[in-house]
Amino acid sequence: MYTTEFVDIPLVELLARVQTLKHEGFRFVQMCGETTEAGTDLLYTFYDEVRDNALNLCVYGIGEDTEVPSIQELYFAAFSYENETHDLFGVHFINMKLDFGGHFFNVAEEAPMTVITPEMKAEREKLAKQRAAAAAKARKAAEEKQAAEAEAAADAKEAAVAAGKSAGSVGDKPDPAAEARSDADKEAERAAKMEAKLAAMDPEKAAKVRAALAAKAAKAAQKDGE
Amino acid sequence: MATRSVIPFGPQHPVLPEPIHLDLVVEDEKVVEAIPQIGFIHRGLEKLTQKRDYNQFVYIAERTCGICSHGHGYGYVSATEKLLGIEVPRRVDYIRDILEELTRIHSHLLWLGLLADAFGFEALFNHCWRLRENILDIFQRTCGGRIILSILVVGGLAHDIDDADLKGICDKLDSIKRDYLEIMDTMMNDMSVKSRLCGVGVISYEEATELSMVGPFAKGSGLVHDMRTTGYGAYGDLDHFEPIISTECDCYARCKVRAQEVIQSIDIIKEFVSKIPHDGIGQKSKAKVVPEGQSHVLLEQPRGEAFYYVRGNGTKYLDRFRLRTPTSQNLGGLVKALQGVDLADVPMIILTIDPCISCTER
Repeated sequence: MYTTEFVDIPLVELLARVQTLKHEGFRFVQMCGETTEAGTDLLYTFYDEVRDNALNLCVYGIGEDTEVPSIQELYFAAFSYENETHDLFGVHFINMKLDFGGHFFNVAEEAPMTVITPEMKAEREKLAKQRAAAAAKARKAAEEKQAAEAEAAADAKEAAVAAGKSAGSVGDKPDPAAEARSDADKEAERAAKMEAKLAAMDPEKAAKVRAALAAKAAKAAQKDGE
Repeated sequence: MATRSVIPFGPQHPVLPEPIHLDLVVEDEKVVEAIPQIGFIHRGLEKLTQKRDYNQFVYIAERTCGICSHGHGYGYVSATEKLLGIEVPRRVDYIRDILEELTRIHSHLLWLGLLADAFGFEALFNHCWRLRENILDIFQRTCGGRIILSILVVGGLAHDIDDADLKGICDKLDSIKRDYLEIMDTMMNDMSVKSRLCGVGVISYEEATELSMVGPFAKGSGLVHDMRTTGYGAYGDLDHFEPIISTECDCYARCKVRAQEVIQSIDIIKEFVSKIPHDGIGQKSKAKVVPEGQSHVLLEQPRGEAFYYVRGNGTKYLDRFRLRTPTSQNLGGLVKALQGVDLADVPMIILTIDPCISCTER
């Protein structure tokens, strides 16, 4: 079975890299584009028959006005892919040996492959929210861990000081104000966790959960009043 | 001085089953230059990955083309399985490759029929297509469909093909082989066939290498390039596999390669059936999302090497599915092969490249 490699390269290095591959005896397999938020990504694939190695050169974030050098001088077979990428993705190639001037593919819409469908947009937004929530959760967990460690260290220090001052303070009653503060902190922490979960949920589902929580809280308040 | 003029060839032409347009620049009766144009039936199938999730997309991939339908599905599921890190049971590989070889046989028989028809050999056309019907019958019996097989799922097969059916395929292939050899004897040794194909549309070994040509078009120029030699799927289990090549570099050589590949495919299927393991058929992937990343596979389709690329983004939709068909890769060779030929030979040369525009337009 052949091996596969993906190598990221800047656009300025493209021609030099392709030239090297040509000299090394790589065969041209294909070239394609992909639309992302940062522009168009280009993927060039080459195959080394001797080592059975498929090498992919990835060039990321090609802008609308960026000029991409054509590789047709080195691999003429690239003419169909470059013209296709121009017609479907709107990428501008320069020094093309065979240039159809935007008429290789007869498509009704200009650069149709750059349009992102509503389904994909919704999925990407959902994924971004999930990632943001996960990052917030991880950040919070790290902060809490750090705070707990600092608290434990302070407690240990305090205990050591107290042990040094007097040994007769065993059995003191806990401070009610401190206890109430700790309960409020716990409540706030619980609320923050719930908010993070809701942010990661589907907006419709999150609204339903929020409504249910509000109803529950109202019921509890009513019970307390009675 | 010869007058130079441009003759439009296609997209509607008796010899072209699918629409491709060529501007033929001719000087008297000699073609000086040929400029291809496609895009008449572009469907934007690759874009549909953004509307259908990765499991549903198998059905779209299969509908790319009516001839290599199974191959495109195979390429798509293999690339997606690679991205998902799924290893399918060996039986799945065997069955997929058996169906792929059957596809190769029916594709070549269809092509040989079309070539015979272009010569005016209508009886030969009928015989080739009669034999092809047997392959479609096999598909119908084992998969349910004659063209779109729908047996593939990401992670395995939708259903198994039992051993009795596999044995039945071998018996059927034996009878097809007998009839086929008789037909090929007529076809390949006919004087008028040779006069139309020998020495026509020559592409040298060096040119084929330079133009990165693939499939029987390249093998007819002596280029030993066949992805099956890398041993993907079950091909690594074959006792011996050597690509069929021919060094005459003309239309006749391409015809010869395809004719012999039919026999080779029959032998491969019989070997697969004799070795097929019984380790299950896997199951449809239950992964909710495709992880971020990219993967690709290269397969040997009837017309040559095909490239399938998938890019995941952490959702159930793929960011990108790329299908590079053999015909796209051979367009450069087509342009080269048409330079300097007689105008009357143009249809034969285009046919011997066996262009599949549905795949190319995808």
